[in-house]
Amino acid sequence: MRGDSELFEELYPGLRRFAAATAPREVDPDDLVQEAVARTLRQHSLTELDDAGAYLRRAIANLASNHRRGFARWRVAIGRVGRTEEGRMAEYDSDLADLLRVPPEGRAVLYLVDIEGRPYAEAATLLGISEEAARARAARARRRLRLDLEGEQS
Amino acid sequence: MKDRDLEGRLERLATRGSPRGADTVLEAAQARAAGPPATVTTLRRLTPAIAVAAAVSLIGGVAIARSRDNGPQIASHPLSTVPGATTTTGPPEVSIPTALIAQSRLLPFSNCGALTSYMKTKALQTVSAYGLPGAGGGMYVAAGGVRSSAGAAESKDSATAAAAPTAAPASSSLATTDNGFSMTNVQEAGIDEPDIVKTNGNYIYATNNGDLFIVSATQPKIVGSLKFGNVNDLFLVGDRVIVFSNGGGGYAMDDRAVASSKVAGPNAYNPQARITVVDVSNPASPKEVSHVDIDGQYISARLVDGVARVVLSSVPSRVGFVYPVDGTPAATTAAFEKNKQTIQATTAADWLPHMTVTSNGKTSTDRTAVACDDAYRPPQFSGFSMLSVLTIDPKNPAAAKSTSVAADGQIVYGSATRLYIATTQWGQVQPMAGGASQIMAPTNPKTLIHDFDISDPGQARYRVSGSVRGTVLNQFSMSEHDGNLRVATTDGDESFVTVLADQSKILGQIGQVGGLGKGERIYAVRFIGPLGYVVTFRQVDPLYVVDLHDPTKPRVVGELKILGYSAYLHPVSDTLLIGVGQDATEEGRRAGTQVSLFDVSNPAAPKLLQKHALGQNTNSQAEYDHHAFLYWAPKQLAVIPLQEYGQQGPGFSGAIGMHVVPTEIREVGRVAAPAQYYGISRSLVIGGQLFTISQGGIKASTLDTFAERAFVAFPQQQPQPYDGGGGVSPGSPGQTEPSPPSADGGAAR
Repeated sequence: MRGDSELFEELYPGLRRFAAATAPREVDPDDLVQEAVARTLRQHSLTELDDAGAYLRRAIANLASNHRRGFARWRVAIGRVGRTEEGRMAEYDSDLADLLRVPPEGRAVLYLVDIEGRPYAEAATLLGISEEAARARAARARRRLRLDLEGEQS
Repeated sequence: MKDRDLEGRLERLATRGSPRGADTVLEAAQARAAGPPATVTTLRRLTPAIAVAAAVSLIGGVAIARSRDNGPQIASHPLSTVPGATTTTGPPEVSIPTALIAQSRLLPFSNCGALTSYMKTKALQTVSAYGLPGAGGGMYVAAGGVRSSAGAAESKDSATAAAAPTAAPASSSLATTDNGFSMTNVQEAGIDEPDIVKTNGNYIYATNNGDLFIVSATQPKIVGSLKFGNVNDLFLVGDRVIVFSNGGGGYAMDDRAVASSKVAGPNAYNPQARITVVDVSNPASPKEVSHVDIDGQYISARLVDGVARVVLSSVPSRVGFVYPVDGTPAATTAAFEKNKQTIQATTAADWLPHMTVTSNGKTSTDRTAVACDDAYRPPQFSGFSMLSVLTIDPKNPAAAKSTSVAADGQIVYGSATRLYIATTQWGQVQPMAGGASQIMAPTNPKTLIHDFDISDPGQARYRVSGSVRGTVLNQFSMSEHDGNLRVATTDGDESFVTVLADQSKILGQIGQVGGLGKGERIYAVRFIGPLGYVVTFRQVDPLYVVDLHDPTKPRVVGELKILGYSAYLHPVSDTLLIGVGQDATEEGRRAGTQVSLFDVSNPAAPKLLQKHALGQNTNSQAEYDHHAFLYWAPKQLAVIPLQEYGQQGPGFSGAIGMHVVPTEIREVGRVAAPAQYYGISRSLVIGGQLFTISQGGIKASTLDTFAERAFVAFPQQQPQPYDGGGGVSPGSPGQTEPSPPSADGGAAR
């Protein structure tokens, strides 16, 4: 019977990609994966879970949105004292920077649907939200990216 | 139709950075799962564990042994790859050694069990027959030791009005058309610092003999007062005054624990600080709204956007240690064993500070000020002290919330969004003869700097930490600019300016310049925009100008050597700097207070425009407390306190005003203190008048000539059967000076 490390080795590339697509720009994707796994391991071993990949994706998505709210407050405070964050954004091309401005919740749906090719219903189940909510998040994200393509990929 | 563009961008986003690999991530996660939770602490949602006070605690330096034995403890679960590399959007690309991260990152406790077990382990390694160094026993010899108590316990009867104001009403009004007034001289504009006097232009709120007095600035007289007995300093926020007091708590003795004829105690001093919010909407009748009593010593505070952040340092004084009744080995062993048993029996509540909130006359039950999982410790042992940041909104003081870290903290610097607390790393614990132990000052001292996010008006949050070689002098040694923290330190015989950047996991060093003042130590620092001014001294005063435009490459661009030194630097314009310090002989002997005017328009060539010596054997409180310095820009007027101790006894005592223009410093006038031994400690400008504050009272003078216009005497302290120590007791027996002017010496003397 395989253990956590074999299972995780298999899951890691996908989780890491999902975390990178979802994490706020200030958060290291590996930290997000690590935190999700650590929190999970406090309750269960990975092999105990029915679908560890789905479980960890949801944990990553939740952590990403928690973190994003914290950073949003921080940015507001920084803005109040008249500082800009241009220096912090300089590493990304403008199109990636635009994408990073989309909230993690939206990016998570877009990634699951557009890249992992899951139907909205499955993406919604995976994230623990309704299908309508998943569609709405994707639509908002696309609008934010000024793309008029909502609902195309279902 | 698929959106190829979006897909491509998502794909690129998904592959950003360099993955650490499954093994590394899982290993770190497993270590984390076994230990304390939450890595990105900035973002932690702090769950208030108690209704009134949720706290985060910083526990100072408890990990030395494990670090020595097993290498950096955190190395098994790296917090991050190199920040600034492709995986994060951290600012500059610099390499931060993992070891440095490990050494400075604060670690959270996952729960009370983890905290207790950790504290027990470290305490058992440190405990002696006299208890723990710095926590009710033992000796503490490290730099930056535990602060001594401010004085004996005082009456807690703060609601009782002070002695009725006896000052005679002024005979004349000081009303003028000039409505301007000066604020406390602070390091950063907009970040208020607590002081012994505050004003809103109409009233002066001052502490005298530990009590609060409200003095009208237009009809100079005391209009109201509130008795405290032990006020340190205060904030004024609208119609509320926040009063900080030390000296609460007291000795706790429990004879029941004396188990044998060989040991005595426990005998623990448990100091408490009190933070009181006073409603002063009716100045004639100030009323307490509520107060917080919290274990420890009040260190300092900052006020940003009407919310106070209070820094407190506490030791686990609730752990009742015994001590040997005599020096016999049997007694020492008995006490040692008893203390070990005491540690074994501790719970988390014994190691954390406690607090109560009293509101509307009702006192909450005693509780820990901090939830265990909001407590942090640095990986390097920094003592058993707990550093707490308490957030108090004077509009809703009952909701005070705290965050704590196990560390000693002494020096506080605040920007608009951050509070930085500097602490000196502990050295090794060494046994002493007779069964006690001592903490040695580290041979290569490092300053740990803990960064708290104060952008949330509800609670401060621990964010990140960093470390710098050497020790800092005071709050001016730190300064935030463009998101980076600049720190000036002295280590051994040279000084450094280091730039730290928040790289999401650490305050990492991104630049440093050293070699300042070889063989000397720092006497003054001031960072102004992208420039830093550092004064070092042994015989002459090199004023160094450090260019920090490129924070990764700070460099010394200018240097000016004069005799003496400046201990406080004050920018009066973009090109002029005032220095207050001491003149010195060529041998480096101090020769009295001097005020210097520097032209810093060309950073590469700072020039001394004028040196105004104030006479031999003089000193000024402004040399060691910048709140005593006043610069009133509308009149280009600098005012500093001055005390003279001549060969023939006391000389001038008072304040001296100087007109500062680019070409010269010209003395405008002097205000004598009401009595030599009082000394003037603060100066204010209100409505075109100069108000000078001493222990004797508040004097109003004209701003142009310093001629006296009115005097309001504080009530004289009644002789006490026992003086708790600490303060000067004006008018106490043995003084040869005349008594301070009585109240009816009043106005227009």
